Amino acid sequence: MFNQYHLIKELELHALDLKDARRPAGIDENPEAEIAESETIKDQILHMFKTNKVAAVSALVILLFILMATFAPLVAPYHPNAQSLVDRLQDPTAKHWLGTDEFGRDVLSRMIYGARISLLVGLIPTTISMTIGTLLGLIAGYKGGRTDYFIMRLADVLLAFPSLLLAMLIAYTIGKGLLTIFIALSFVSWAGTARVVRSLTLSLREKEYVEAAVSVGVSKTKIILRHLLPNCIPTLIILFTMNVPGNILSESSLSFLGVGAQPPSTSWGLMVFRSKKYLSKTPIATLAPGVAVLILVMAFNFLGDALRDAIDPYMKE
Amino acid sequence: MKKLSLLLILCLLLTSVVGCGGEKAVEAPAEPAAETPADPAADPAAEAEEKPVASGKFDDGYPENVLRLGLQGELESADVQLTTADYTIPMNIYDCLFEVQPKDDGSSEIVGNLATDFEVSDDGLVYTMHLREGVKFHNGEILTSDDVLYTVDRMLNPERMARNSDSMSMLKGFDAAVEGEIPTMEGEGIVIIDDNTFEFHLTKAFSPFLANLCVPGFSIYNREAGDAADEAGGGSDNSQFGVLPEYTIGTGAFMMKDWVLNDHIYIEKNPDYWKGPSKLDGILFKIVPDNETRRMMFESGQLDEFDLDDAREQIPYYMESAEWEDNVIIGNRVGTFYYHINESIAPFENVLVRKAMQHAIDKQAILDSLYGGAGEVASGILAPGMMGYNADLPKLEYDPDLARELLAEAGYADGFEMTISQTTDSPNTLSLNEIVQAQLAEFGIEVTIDQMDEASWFDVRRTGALPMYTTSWSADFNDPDNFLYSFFTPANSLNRSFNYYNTDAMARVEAARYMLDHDARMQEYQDLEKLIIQDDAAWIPLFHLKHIWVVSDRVNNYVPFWAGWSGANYWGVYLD
Amino acid sequence: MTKYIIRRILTAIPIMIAVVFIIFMLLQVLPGNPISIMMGEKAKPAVIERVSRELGLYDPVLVRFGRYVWNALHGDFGRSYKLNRQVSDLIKLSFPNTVRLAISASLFAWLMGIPAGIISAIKRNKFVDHFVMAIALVGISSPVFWGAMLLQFVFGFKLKLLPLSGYNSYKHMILPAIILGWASAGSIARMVRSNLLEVMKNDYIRTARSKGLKPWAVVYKHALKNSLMPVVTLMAIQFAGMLSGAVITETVFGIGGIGRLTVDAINNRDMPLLQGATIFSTLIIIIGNMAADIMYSFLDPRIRDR
Repeated sequence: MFNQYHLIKELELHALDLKDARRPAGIDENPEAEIAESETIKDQILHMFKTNKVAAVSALVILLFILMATFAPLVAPYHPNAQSLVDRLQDPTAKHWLGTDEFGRDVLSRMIYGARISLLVGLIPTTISMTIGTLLGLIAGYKGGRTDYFIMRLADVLLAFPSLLLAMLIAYTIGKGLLTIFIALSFVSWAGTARVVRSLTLSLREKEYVEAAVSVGVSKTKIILRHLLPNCIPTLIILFTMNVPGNILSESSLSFLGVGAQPPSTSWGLMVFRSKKYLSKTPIATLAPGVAVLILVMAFNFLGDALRDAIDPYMKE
Repeated sequence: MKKLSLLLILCLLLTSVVGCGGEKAVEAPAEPAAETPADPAADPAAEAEEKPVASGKFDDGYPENVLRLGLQGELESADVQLTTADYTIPMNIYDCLFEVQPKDDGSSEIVGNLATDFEVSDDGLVYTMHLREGVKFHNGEILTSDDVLYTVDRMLNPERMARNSDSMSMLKGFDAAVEGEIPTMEGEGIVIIDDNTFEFHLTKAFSPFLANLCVPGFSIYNREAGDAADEAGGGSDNSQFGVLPEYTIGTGAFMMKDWVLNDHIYIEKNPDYWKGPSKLDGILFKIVPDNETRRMMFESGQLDEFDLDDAREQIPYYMESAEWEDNVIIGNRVGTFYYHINESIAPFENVLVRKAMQHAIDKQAILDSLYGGAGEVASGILAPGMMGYNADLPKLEYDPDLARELLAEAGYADGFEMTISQTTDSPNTLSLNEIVQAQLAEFGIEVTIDQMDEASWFDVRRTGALPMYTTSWSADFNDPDNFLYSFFTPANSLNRSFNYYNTDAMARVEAARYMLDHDARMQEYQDLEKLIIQDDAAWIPLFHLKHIWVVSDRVNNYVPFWAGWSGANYWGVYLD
Repeated sequence: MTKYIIRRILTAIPIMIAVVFIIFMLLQVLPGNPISIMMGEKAKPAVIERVSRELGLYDPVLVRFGRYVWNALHGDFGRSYKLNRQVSDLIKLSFPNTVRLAISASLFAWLMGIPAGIISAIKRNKFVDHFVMAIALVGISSPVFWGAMLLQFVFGFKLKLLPLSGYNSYKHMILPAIILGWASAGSIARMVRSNLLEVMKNDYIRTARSKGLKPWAVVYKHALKNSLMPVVTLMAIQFAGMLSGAVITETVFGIGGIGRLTVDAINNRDMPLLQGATIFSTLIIIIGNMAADIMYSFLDPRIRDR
């Protein structure tokens, strides 16, 4: 789990640029502002897929993985937990394309089911942590004062923890399992989002249209929802594509440390970990899930890069 | 540009501050350690420079005539009183009063070690011990009765928090000593007659007492060495005994030499060993946490031995490959694998269900697939090699029809739901549980495997509420008491969460400890075993595994420990 | 500027206190008696009871916290339950190994990452660029322990080129340094590339190029300096991260560093060691983050007001 502090700082810096920049494209003073904005994002994304082949392929790969995970029972040739001790530790055959594991379970089927956990771990904690982070960031940035100070120091404390250890500690405290991973990963990663969103809010707050809205007595909630939040969306999308692969990798690290997904359910990380001792016998059982993680994470990273170039109104020239 | 240079300077500063911090830590080791003249263990960097690295066959910098063994983790302590797990090094640097010697037929006998002889009074309460004369500790001191007294006092001193003290619980004055009420056992449990003669005084005629004197936990220490180690650490609560090699003194065949935290421990041969010096120059223990890495190191010649307990799936490979089959060492493991059934959880209060479980699990299939068939299916408690083992116990065969019948009779023809608990991070246990889960599904028994972290697992177990679980027990000392008393007493049956109800049987287990007629006592244990396992079905015995090692080509005379532990005394081993 | 730095250092103090408190409290709610785990299957209940009492585990939480802080202020972080040594000794023995690993990995990351980024930027959208960036992304995207295992298997076991485990020579450091450094080399390369491209769009660079300077020369003379600043910050943060313990790399390659010490402490419920080691790692990250904040404030003074 790598320290993402520099990415947070970079995004904070860009938030500063936003303050001085002209109003981002597509924002009007009319009340339909956020709709106009989201349409622009949609356009930008569509344009990106048309022009950027890598992005299109990455999106396709991700979509494929998601479909595979969703319809796992239809796709998988065997039940993932069906044991057959006589068939244990086989190399790939026509019956078992990726061979079998120590209990004679079909590796391919287990990978297809394992995709569920790997994807869920990528998506759910990211969503939770970003929701929390965005909310706290907006509040801190907009309210300022003591609220701001308190929230930001809390964020600093979290950013100071070695996140893998913190996640392990949480897992030991509340018991291991999938839910635990969700909670642990959500808990350790909201701080970055909060800091970036706060920075954005601070910049946006000084914009004329926000000041205008305040002066005509628009309620705080409305200002936050109508004017501040929509302008954070491009940055949030970038943060999202940055956090998803991070969380997928974290889960595999946690599996290695014994606090990831718990058997008999499996994730790719856990499959690598448990097939490791058969590396010299059936290397494919270790290689395949690792490659799957690699491909998924790379796809998310490629997509993230492309999105950053395509939709970010102030990160590129 | 100014900005940039400032930045760079700042960065350099950060790097150097942190870097210096690191180097400083190297130069000035532990505060107490700083007072000691030489502390090689504290300085891995210097270590690497001092020794010729990558010389010849080995890249670890130690001579060729050194036995190289792998350890899974860092030692808890080399002070054997502070560990219940890491006996390998203590077994080689200390000696006990007696030792167990395996015989060719698989059984074993107790022979003198630091003690040459003993007499026991008719009432079984007083043991008179005669110490071997002229035995030298590594610091040059001569072994006397006072050292035995010191060893016991040290073990019972509550401030020391010794982990093995209960092996002495039959001594007079034990309770007062562990509560800190009396500072020494002299005149209580131990009476010194002269430098080489002393008596143990017991509160009851405890038959397994002699067997208890053979455990590594009762290795004999030296008073001067202990005091020096305490002083070096600034007091008894920070003794350097078992921490710094130069203060870790015993009488054993090897002496502590180097200890680099989480990397390796080197023990060197004791030229003055009373049995004669070992043919080895020393033993290097490399600490390698990952089993597979350790196996790869063995195969590439960097380790001389690999314990197949750490890669059971490789047993067939080593047993069958032409390259390794001659290097396989098969030892007894005086131990039993079993499932505990918690009788306080429905439907296991019903003896029929428990018996059905005994017949529903195909133990031979598990033995073959998980352990390469190396062992035998168990039908009782005591393992082969243990005193009192009963080879004629009726077999508990895998019999699905009988199991179904019993289930139907109990009213569970369609099965039931149950939980098997285990700790996380134990893949071997999990493999076993997953197979049993699949096997029981055949009977409509739906098993949930509840993986708990170790702490909760132990905690719940203490309250008696832990669902069925599997574990194994291997012998600490050669007496059936070690097996039966550890489980089948009211306190232990609750502590281990199986809630055995037969108080009559448990009273007999307690009484058997104090029977003086050896043969009658063994007969009683065999009767109890049959009653508890086959009539009451308190356990599901699984198997007695063999313990298998592979050694490198150059290793000779490798004799496993009588009880089949991973470590042994390597005094007799020699290398080509 | 000085004022900002002082302010930034002062804010680190309450963070540190909070961290100590949170770690202590988290450890208190960890389920289970650490002594029963420590002593394992064979332990007699009476002994567990005696040892727990002797260690003061039955005192109220606040009493224990007070005692811990008081002792810690006197430099006594307690004695490890499992390893029976002073926590401060264990950290002193382990940290140098983590430092060596961090330095080797960082050197690898810097020596690979910066040139790779430059080459990529110069050969923008050519094959070399795509190739280098793909390798960088593989480093960022692969699970560390998987990569570590494979390298160990191939180079240590099959080819027998490098030692499998341990840390007593520089040869031992090669594989861990590569695996730990790869990911940061990847992010360094990506950052160097994108910053270079950004800077190269500037007018003065265009002017220099139109004057007929070779791309290499332009990069070296003008662009590199301006684009390196954020990269230096990134490197500092990464370095601090590595110093706080590379848990997985240390475990796979059997390096006795802070990360492995901490993970073992968690697994063994070795409270004193866990507290000490976590506080130590956290302190390093706090210093790293602080350094990054200060460096960024050089880059962009506006950030100081935030």
